[in-house]
Amino acid sequence: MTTVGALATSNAVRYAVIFVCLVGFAGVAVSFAVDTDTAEPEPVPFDEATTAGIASEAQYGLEERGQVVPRAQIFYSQYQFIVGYHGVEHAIDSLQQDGHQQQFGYPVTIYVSDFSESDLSLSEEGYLETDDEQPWVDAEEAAFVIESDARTPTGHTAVPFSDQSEAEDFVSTYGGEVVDWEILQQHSFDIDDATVVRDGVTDLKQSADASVEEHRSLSDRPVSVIIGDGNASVVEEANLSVADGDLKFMETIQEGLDHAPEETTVFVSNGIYEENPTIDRSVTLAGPDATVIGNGNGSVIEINAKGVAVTGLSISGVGENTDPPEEGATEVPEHDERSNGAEGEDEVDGADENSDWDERVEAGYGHGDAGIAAVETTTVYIDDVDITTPTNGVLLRDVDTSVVENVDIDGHEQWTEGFMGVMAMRSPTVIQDSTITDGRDSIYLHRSHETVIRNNTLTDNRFGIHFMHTSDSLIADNTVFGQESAGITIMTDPAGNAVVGNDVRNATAGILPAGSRSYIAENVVVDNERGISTGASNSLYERNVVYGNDMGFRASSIRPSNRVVENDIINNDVPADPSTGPLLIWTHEGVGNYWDGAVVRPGQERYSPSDPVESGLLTTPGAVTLSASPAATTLDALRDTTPGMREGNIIDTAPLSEPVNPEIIAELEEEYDE
Amino acid sequence: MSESQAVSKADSETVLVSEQLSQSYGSVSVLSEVSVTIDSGSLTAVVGPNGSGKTTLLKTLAGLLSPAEGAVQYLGPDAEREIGYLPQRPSFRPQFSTLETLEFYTALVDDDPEELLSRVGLRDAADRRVEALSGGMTRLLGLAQATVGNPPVVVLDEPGSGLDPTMRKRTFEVAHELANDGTAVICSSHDLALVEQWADHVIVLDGGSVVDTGSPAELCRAHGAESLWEVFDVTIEKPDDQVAVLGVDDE
Amino acid sequence: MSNKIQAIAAREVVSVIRARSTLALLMGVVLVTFGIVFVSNAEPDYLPTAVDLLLPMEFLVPAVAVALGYRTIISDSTRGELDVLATYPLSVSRYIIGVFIGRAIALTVLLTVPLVIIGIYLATTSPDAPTFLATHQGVDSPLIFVRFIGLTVIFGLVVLAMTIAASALASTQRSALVLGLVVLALVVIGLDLLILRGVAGGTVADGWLTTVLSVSPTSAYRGLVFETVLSTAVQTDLQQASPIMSTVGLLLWLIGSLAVATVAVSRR
Repeated sequence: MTTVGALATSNAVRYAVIFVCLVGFAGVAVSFAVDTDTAEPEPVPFDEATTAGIASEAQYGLEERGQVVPRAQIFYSQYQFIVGYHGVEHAIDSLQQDGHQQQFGYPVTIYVSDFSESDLSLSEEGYLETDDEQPWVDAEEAAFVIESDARTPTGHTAVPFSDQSEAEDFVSTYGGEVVDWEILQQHSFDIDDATVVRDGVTDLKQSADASVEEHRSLSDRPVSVIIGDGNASVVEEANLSVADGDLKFMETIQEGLDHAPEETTVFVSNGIYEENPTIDRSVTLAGPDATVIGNGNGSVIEINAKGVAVTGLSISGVGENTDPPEEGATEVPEHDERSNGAEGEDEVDGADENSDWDERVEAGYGHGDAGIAAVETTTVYIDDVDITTPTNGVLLRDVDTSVVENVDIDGHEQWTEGFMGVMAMRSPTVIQDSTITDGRDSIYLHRSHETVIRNNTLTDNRFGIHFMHTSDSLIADNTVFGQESAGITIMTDPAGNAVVGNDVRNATAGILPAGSRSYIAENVVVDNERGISTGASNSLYERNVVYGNDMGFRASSIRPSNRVVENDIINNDVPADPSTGPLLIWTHEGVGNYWDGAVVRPGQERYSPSDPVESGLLTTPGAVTLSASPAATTLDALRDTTPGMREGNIIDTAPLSEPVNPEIIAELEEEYDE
Repeated sequence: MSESQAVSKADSETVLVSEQLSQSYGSVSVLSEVSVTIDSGSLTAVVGPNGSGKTTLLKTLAGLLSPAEGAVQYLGPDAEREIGYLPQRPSFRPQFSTLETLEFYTALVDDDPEELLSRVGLRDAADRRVEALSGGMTRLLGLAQATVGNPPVVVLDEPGSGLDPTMRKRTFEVAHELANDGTAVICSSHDLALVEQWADHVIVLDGGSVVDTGSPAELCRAHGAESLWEVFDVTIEKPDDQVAVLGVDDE
Repeated sequence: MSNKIQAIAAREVVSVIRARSTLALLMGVVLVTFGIVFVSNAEPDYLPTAVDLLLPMEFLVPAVAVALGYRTIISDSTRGELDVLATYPLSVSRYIIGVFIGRAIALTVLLTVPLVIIGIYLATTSPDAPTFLATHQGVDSPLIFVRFIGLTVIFGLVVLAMTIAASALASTQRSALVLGLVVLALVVIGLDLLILRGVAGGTVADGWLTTVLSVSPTSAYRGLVFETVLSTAVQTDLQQASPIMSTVGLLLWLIGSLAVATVAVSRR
């Protein structure tokens, strides 16, 4: 009996085959019968979730004051990370977005903070106050209070309770109504998003204009003292008036400052003055052709009073120290109603500077020597000043309002040795029409919300503009060139910043924003290694020209939440890099971006800049043919129907056929064509 | 003249009968009004020139073709396999060995494949693949296949064709043994000497019709011939050096 | 009695194993499937892999089924073995079933082994993830892939049956090949084109589409994959296909083809 014979006749073989078939059949049948929904996963610790919602800076502020935000965490069917939301309203809003399901799948399980066992009260602003921790409750089993007085820094919120009666108690005290999860999902929350920031740009500009006007009036003060060789005629030449009383004439600036009455100008005539003057009263120090040279120890001009202006001087001889004074000598600002003048909706006023993190930053950056240093005061005006410095140019710390314009700052040629051109810490300010070259960062901001930086030229630093924990500010119309690290970088997790109309070239990274709800628009980003990173979430990136970079756009958030539309992306080696992350759809309401590689083929409407074939359309022979093949196109179409399918991919479903900024592009092409 | 041992008449019975069998391909008449009787335990040989319809007759008797007119009736005992068949050009799946091939057939009807191989002399070729067999060996395999399951009737179409004289003789011996065991063997052949030697019954076919039938001795007597060859010569119409092609020379 | 079916089936299986073209066929399946999974950028998850494999399978599976099936009956016929087999106590239906089962076993092995290997690979690799973030599996589960393999094999079996019918209807080796290719073209594209035409021309009303789709084995297969594999990721009320009609369609093609083959052979 051969094997064949055995196979043909053996009972054992027959039963074995039948058995295997039955097992296989049963296995397949079971796979159809069993529901593939996995068992409900348990909630995870919130810091292990990738988060969205209010800015972390605001989060810290709330936490310190025993205030909380109702949270949610969502397990999506096609997204491997659990998404945490600071603010249940953010979760709802997110679920309602177009294309959300396509990117994440559907929510498998949702947990929300349960306030049933918490001892609750509301603060003045409506924030929830409690010392208790909230456990998690399944959203489908919770009762939610909406439209009550309860708020989070971004607006109205929904407060979840596992116990309905607790919810009703809350309503009786704070108003609103109780709804269940199903109704809550349909509720529309008014959440500020990036378009609000866009609308706010005009307001910011206007308030900056007003502030500038106000501060400029300080330079109209009548002259009371003249320093140096000048005579009374300099007053008229400077278009100023003489103060009541006699004009005094002094040798040194400090003398003049000590003797000038408040609200007058101390006029420094031409010449070189070797001193480190301190301004202790509300006067203006003007010296259009004067040079002040410090002794190389400490800051040159120190401003300790409010309402002080410094105009026209040339300053050098700045000290080289960047360290804070010794332990214990750090001045701790008092608790009072001190506010940074920033009443942004999603950050908390700075009444609590004793936090560790703030101290560390302050120690690191806030105490260096400067050409002009103003600390713990208000209403400072600096105009038309030239500063040469190995450390800071202008240092503002805890200055409530200030304007810095028309200054020219030259920093240390080696940025590793230098420090900041203008350093503003907890000092919202307006910096405009200035030129800053070399040094470490041209402009460095820490917790200086609602600052306006515009029309400056910043060259050859590590960072041109460097934001830390600063929200609701405007960076507009600056020219930023040759930055070692990044032209404009926004770090930590602020919200509501606008970066508009800047020209950024020759940096490693052009615009590197972080945080959320930011508005990055109308910038011209050319010849950088990376043009624009979409690091800020829930943000709007529109109408930028991204030209001739090694990499045009770089998607760098784990969660897809940005709107990237109407940008011109031309002549970049890599038009857009998705890094690792889920599918990104860079189209909104039928409007996408202009890509020079998006050859629109008949029947093919979407463009994927990250697709290896499609991104090579202009450079790889045959790519167009391959991309139009039925295999490629149908595979594309199939993938688009199923969420989570195109990890690490960017798609534009409606690429523009004409560029948005044709004139700018024409100029660039002329300039850069070999 | 016949060396066959006469089977006692009492043991044989009619196992297969055809009645006025007519067969045609399209408009060409291939068999007309053929009536034959096949008895068990006998070796019946169908002889005739090329194109006389032998294959068609055999196939029809084997039940593989339905007659246009007339009928074929199997009258033999109930058996799992009633009629065995060896085609004119036997062919088997090339990748199987002879033993495996027979094992397959014996899986359909119970029998001993090794014994079958031995009977036709292929025992030593048991493991050789069909694709490696000579034409003669393939035909022997086909012969073995035809007898699988001991069918009461075995139909062999030119079983000796392509075999060397010894093998051809062996074939007829096997056929004769089968007949001795009670099987009704029907075959066709061009080897008139062997037919004369071994067949119990001869059917002479020409142009689709039965010209004459009987034992070799009877036929010789009837036609005043010394040998079957002479009978053949006398009874078959000889067209002028051309092979008869049915349908061309109309009668 | 079923011994006879076993004998026929065993003969087919051994024929496939001993055929020179089988290895090439296996290599082809391996190349295509492994190529899609390992070379392309597919995520090492069950669902994305199934999505990536679906379209290639629609071409590959019928090709493999036709390659395995088009020569089965016609070669027995031209060799004269059909005549010989007719003398055995073997009913035509048993013969057809035996042939089908034998080739079906071969087809199942050819398709399942590479896919199961891929499944094991997926089970043992996990995508890169930052380790500080918690992850969960979502609705990606091996069961999804098992469903996909099952549906793919069923699809292959249906096309195999259709090819065997074509082989039974053919009268020469050459015409068997032609008919096999016709089956291939019909299955892969032709029927769907007809349906497309019907939809465009208005002869297929919207409500009937899911039913009409089940007429095409390929669309029935695709529809079942959509509904039972891909739909786990999406919650829509819109049915992509009627699973019942699709299953019925496939079953009808299978049984009908085997019936046609039986009738064709018994008429020889």
